[in-house]
Amino acid sequence: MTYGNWLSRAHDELTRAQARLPSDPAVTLDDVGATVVARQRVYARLAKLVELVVGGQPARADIDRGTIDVALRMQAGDHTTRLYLGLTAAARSDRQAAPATAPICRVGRHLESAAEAIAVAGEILAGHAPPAREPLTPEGVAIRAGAGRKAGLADIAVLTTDMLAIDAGLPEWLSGGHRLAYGAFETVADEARWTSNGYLTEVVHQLISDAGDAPSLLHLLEPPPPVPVGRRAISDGASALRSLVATRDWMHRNPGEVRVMHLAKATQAALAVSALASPGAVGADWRSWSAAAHAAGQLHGTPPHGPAAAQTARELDLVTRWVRPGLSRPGHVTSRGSRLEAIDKLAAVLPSLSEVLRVATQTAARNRHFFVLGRRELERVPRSLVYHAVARWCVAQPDDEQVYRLRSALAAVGASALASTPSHLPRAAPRLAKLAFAAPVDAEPSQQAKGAIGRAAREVLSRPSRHDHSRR
Amino acid sequence: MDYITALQQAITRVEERGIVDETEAQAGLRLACLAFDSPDVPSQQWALLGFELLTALTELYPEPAPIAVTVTTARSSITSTTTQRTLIRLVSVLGDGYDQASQQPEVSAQRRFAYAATAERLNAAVRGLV
Repeated sequence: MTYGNWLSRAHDELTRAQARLPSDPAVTLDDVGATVVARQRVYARLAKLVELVVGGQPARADIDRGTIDVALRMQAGDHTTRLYLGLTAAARSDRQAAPATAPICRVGRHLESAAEAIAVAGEILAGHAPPAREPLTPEGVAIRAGAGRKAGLADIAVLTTDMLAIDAGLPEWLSGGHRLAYGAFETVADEARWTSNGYLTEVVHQLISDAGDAPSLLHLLEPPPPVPVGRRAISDGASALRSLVATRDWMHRNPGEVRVMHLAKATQAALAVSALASPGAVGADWRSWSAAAHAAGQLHGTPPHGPAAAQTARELDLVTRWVRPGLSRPGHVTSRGSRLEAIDKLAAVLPSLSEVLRVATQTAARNRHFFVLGRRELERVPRSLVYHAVARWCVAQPDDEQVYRLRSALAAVGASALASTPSHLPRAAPRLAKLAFAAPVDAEPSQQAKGAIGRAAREVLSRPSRHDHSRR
Repeated sequence: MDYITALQQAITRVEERGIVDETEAQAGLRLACLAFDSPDVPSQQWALLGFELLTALTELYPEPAPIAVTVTTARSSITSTTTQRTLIRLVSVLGDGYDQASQQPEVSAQRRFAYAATAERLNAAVRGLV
């Protein structure tokens, strides 16, 4: 499941929790406590999600509610900061923590499920761009550079809107349940009134409105796949895609471990994909991949070191074998159309792969891992009259012609991908970030339209906030 | 020596000696590959042929023979129809050579299978072009 799927699930769970509020009171005090904890957990995880989307804490997380209230009223800071402050304030409670029991009532269970779904979505983001660490994948680099940020914040704003609707009904729910609940949880009722008082609602409306039609790239994110170990063949397009992405991510994380064998196999796989993809598929620049593959094929160098490096080379080989046309192979039974579709999906990875390989080529050349044939020199056996022309291998310099040809061909792949689909990122964003989402941008708006979270965003925009209403 | 002349000489040598002379076969494959190391590839079908040639080279000859294949002028342009025709001819001759070699009993079984697969793939790639 993708990041977008998990957010949609969270939205559905919150909608159900809201629908259950009038008819499903908690029976025991512990149940009320567990439901209140689940509510706080949802807010805490939404705040965490904001940190992951923007690549850090927009503000300190320990500011007291009074100060946050003033900040929201005075519209201090940008919308993201105010959302974050509101979420962190809502996640904190003046009440002592309730016992760690699972909620029994439907409202609590739906809140708990929503919190879990948001946590999984957060883990997917953290898998690409972990907090306070370098991004682990090209998509992570893109997220740090701001890819999909507006739409990502709008998604969080939609879920916050769901929570605000629940908070609006929470005081009544508390008073309608266990006879002691309202007294015991009076502070929670006050907190719920505070969050749903209108100022946070205004912030979420502005965030959703700011996102406009920006493509929700983050919806596409899946957990980064690990490099599979020990298999002998790839049987379908989805496995080939996972494998290509996993090997690309490994080479991104370990540019110093990339050797000629990886470069040769990766460029060959990319050449096969680009030669078989639909004409015009983004990333399917077969001319540049042809130049890159043939340049890499002429290079020699040190072999891969360590099991992970060897496994990565094997996986690239398996991808090439799956893509390669002609002889029968596992997966050959798939129809021509679905196979082409799978190859087009592989082509979408090629722009970012080219940049990962270009960086790895530079690193390998700097680390003196490439060999080239040196000038031929005349040598003779002592006392013999016959001279032999002998060429010796020598370590290639980064500016050697063969290395340069490979680098420039890989750079050309990236350039053509960016020329066909200009990036939405700022000009100063890293090239890899721009290439990471070079392909799916066009496809995304339709996917966004299908998602529950996208529909919810449009619904939120179509109904005025209570705060706006009161102003009028 | 220009590229077309080198291709024609390679065709003659492979036709005469067959591909069991592995140095000649490698030289022929490498010479054909030279056409694809610039971005002048005319179409996806041509790119696919380049992929098959490169893959055949790396699969059949993981330890390259100590030979250098060089041409001095107009070395890799396959934009002209004459070069394209000559290159296709060389690949067809190589394909036939691998096909014949796969039927020779003195060649090891493993090698015969590899030759047969290479012949099939090279011929399929050429069929996509003509």
